[in-house]
Amino acid sequence: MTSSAAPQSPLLSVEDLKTYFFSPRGVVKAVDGVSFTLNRGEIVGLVGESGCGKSITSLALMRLVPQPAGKIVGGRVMLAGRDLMTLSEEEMRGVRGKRLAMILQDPMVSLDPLFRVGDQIAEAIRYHEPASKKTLRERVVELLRKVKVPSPEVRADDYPFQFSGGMSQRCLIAAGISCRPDVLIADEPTTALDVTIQAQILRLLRDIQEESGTAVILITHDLAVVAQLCHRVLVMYAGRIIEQAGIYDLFENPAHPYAQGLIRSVPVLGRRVPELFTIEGQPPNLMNPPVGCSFAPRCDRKKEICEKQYPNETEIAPGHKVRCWLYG
Amino acid sequence: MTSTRSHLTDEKKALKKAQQRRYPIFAFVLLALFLVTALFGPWFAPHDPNAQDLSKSLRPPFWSENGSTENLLGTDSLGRDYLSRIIYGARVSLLVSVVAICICGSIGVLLGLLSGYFGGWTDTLIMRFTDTWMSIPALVLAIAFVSLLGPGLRNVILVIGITAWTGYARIVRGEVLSLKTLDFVSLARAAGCSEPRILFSHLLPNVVNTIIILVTLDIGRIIIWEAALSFLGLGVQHPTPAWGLMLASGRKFITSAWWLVTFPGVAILMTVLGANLTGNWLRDVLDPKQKLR
Amino acid sequence: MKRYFIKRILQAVVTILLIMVLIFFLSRALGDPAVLFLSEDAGPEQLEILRESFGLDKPIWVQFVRYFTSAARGDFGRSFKWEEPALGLVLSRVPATMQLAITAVLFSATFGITLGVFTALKRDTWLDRFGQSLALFGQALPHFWLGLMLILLFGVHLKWLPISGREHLSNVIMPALTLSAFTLASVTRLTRSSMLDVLNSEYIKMVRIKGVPERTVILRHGLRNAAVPILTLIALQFSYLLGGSVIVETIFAWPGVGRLAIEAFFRRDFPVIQVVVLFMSFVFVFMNLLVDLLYAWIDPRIRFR
Repeated sequence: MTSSAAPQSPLLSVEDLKTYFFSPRGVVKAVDGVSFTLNRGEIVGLVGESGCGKSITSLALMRLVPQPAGKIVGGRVMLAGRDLMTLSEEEMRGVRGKRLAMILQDPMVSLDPLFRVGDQIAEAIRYHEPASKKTLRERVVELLRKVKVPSPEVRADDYPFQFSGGMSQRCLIAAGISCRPDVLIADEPTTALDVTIQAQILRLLRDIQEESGTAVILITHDLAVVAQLCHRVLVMYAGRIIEQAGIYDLFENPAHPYAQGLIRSVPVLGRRVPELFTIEGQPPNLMNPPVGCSFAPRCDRKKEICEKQYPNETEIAPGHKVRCWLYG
Repeated sequence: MTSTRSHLTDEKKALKKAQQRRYPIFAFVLLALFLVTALFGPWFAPHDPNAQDLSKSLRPPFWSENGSTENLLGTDSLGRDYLSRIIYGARVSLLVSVVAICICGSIGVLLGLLSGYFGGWTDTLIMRFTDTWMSIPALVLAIAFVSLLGPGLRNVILVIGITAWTGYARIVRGEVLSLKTLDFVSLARAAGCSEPRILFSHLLPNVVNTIIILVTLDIGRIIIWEAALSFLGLGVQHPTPAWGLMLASGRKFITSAWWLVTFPGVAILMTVLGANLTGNWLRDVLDPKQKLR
Repeated sequence: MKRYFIKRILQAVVTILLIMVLIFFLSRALGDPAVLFLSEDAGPEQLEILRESFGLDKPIWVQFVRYFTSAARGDFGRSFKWEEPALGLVLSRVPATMQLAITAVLFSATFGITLGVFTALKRDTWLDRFGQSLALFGQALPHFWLGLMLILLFGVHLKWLPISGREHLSNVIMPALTLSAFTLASVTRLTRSSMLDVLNSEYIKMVRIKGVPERTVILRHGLRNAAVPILTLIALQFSYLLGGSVIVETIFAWPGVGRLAIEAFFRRDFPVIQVVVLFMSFVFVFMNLLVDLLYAWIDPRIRFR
């Protein structure tokens, strides 16, 4: 896998995105100043543990943050020169599915149980590229074939409950790529699937991506998945991106203590250790995050400044940025 | 979605809005009014509710022509003070609702516990019975019962008690079914608890929250029930002051004495509203899954 | 799907039979019908004659069998006071009650669902609060009082609408409105919460991700998925509506089955009461069957399994 193409102006540019959840008991700062870019043809992995804010980030890009508690309170999202946060709802609707597409985590609950799968895939196309029923039907079958669903002409008329997990996910992928989006966000696309199916789906995603050149944001908590597919990786912790690097850079020289811990935690096949490595402690409560670096309570190399101020971003090598006082 | 042209939300505004908390003061007031009236009514009722005085028959409320402050809400056809009758009527409503709920609650909860816990044939039998019972429109069933037992206050309580339990049975059964799978039940069994002990000391306390909610939400329904039965002549009989009965008697004079059919209904409405709103609030408080609606 | 239909129909039939058994035992268990149907001071010979003519002196098992065999023939006894077969008497009043009940159901369902969807969409706005308050109010309203108030307002004071009898089509307005109040309120509340549940689901999120217009999201995907519990409620409410018709028909002098039941009660005419109970139960069971079949149409998972 080669690193990304020579830098042009980035396709997607996220600047200081903030999404908070408001409840009577307080504010949860789920996404607290996330910035990154995405280039054409890149696959970028967004990695972090459950609850770190990666899914909310993707929903915020789509402006589909769960209402009424969730609200986007700050940031810019530039897609092809336009700030998505300034679009009207109608304009944004035109972007969803057409320029920005998304695949959700659990395919078994992501399809409307009352409608045929073919109709649901056609729905992804109809509102952006109106066409006759016949044309839509042909495109749907074509898409199902592309995602390797056997007997697509027959299966297009089936209902979601008649599909297995892996097949459902393929259908969702079909819907996602149907309008040839610029960016495809895959939110934990394989987490709910069996391991053998996982490999198939990942291979499918890679093939599709190579063929169409769509940029992909792959959200996952599984480093192995990241290693297989991604060009670059963003590591997220407690609502912020704490390290970003090319894939090789991250695995060979992880800079942030958390990232180092993550990579050390993955057991290596064939190598015996007396005890599996874990990172001590728990992620912080996002309603009352600690002042200073949010990882400080768990860090074994913390300095005094770490508990007073959140670290700025430092570029320690070309394309490798980290937010940690050890480096800046 | 987010609000302004920039489609970003102001953080401070959002926080303020989320923190507004509302207590249903209105509901508590109504409910308290009812309870106070029912329990302490006789102390502040202006007149004897049964004292007839035909010379004062059909007086309108005090703010109308021919009304007087002696009878604030007017009088009925027999010259009895309406306000006093309404106050005393609250007692009947309270009595009936409390006793009837005890009866139907006990029956329903017991059947629900047994049905949910033992499953199998017990469950099928009880549920079939419940479904069959529920298939008969309640009021009609009540008519059938009263026609066999005779009318009157005591029978009306009984009849409501034996017709209104089906909701409790079903819901408690549902709760027990999901609780049954939890570990604390198998632990109790492993510790050698007898079945009745498990049912009453372990399962029942966990269902209590639901029962409280059901009961509060049901008070209103039962009060309306009793009033309906009395209205039809199947319940409380003359001369006992009861809201439903007063509506029935007042009906004859609807064209001339509007207050007779208005005030008892308002009393019922306010009481039931208070009970229902309180029940809703309790449910939001006790069952967080149901909140945020 | 055929298997589903047949299963449901069989269940319905069994329920009906069970109801008949229940009624039979209840009526025998709660006292000597003969004493109830005459008066307390009837002499023992009169009671004997009554018992004989209605077969009440035979052993319980004989009575039980006779009960079912006569029912199969459509013979549910003769009304004591009207000198007619009870069944025929009740059936003659059925169209009136059905007209009332169906109007009330249609009214509650249409307005209830509409209001429920609106309040779900405009959640936390003044419209939502207003709609919800209205619904809470409607559930606290005693229907018989509502009827009286409507009569007072529209019949006595404003004189816009007829207040009794069944001569014209406009006669059905007030009774139907009265009868539907509670159901309308309940449907509104349930629609709102059901819609909110559905609108928060993953598949609705997915539909929005596809860029589908919001109106389609709500009406096509949202409402259809929310429909099942709403239909269940409406079916259950039918039981309440049938019972409520007793009161409403009495207030508005509507010549239906409910009113007949009350008249029969005051004349101690048990065969008629019994037929009314059976009839209303049958209707309820039938309504539930219809709704179950409707589920199959809406939800393919039921159809295929």
